[in-house]
Amino acid sequence: MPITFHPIQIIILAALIFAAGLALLILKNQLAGRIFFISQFLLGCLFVLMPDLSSRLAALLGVGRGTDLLLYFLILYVYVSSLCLLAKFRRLEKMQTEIVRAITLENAIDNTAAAPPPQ
Amino acid sequence: MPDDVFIIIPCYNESAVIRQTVKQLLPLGHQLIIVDDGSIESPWPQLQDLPVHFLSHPVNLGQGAALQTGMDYAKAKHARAVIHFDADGQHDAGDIPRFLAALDDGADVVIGSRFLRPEDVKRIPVTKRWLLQAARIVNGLFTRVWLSDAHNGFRALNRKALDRIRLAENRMAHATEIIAQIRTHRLVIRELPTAIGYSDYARAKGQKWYHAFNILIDLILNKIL
Repeated sequence: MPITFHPIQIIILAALIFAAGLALLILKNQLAGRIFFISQFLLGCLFVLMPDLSSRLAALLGVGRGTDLLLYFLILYVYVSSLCLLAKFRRLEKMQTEIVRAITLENAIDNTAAAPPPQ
Repeated sequence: MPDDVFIIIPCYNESAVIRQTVKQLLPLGHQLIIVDDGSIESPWPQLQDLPVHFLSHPVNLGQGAALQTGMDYAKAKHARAVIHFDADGQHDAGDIPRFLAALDDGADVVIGSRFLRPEDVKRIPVTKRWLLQAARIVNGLFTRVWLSDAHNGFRALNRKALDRIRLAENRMAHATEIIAQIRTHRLVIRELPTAIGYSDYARAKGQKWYHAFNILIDLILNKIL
């Protein structure tokens, strides 16, 4: 039996391939990151190619519809990703602070030899 | 021999008042450290004829970061004690001798309070009074140190406190962080009454009620990240 694709499946698959390629290019020498994005890519492909899968999973977990299940996971995913990004942002901010502080101390002006102004 | 008490004045876009604040402090004879926190217009032209130490962050980091930079500098200059003093002229330089006397009397950290004298309480705008009391409760819950005021930027630290306290909160949450570290390092804390001058300038520049949410989120993030 020939495999047929709906137009939306082709569009989403193309977008997934493009995003995965971009992620792999950006994450040079980061094995954990690459594995994470490849897993996401495969999971995405699975749900696109097997639209019934989300509905069956939803029924298994007691959620009404497959789209609801995906929405719940998406919310969770966005929250966790935001938290990870925030943690990384704070680490970078700490590094930036230390660098800025070192530059500031290096360029400190000791002007104490200036005469105090008349009161 | 130069004085070994350093007054740290973090400053962000305070060119209009910084000179006046510094001139108010000079007669005390202590060393003054002005930490410009990446102001759009550098305050240095206002200060270059005055006997001060001038540090300048190339980018804006926040008041907590500016204070820590000043404390690092003071430590390198063998400070015996430091005072945190606001640039906007809210604090009264006349209170400094009392703060230093309290350090000599055995306190490691002295913090100003607007809630110890009825006349000081009356000077606080009513909405700010309620906000400060709510912040005081949040501080107490986070740090388990119950003070009468919250986020009072007028403090004195002796050398022991200067060596132990290290501010990681760059922005306003440092005011709670400092209390938490006082407890962690078992430092002796004392509150002294201070009057805050709520001039129109200070009110316009000061923290708004909604900044409390930012501070609270910073504190929570610092706990979990």
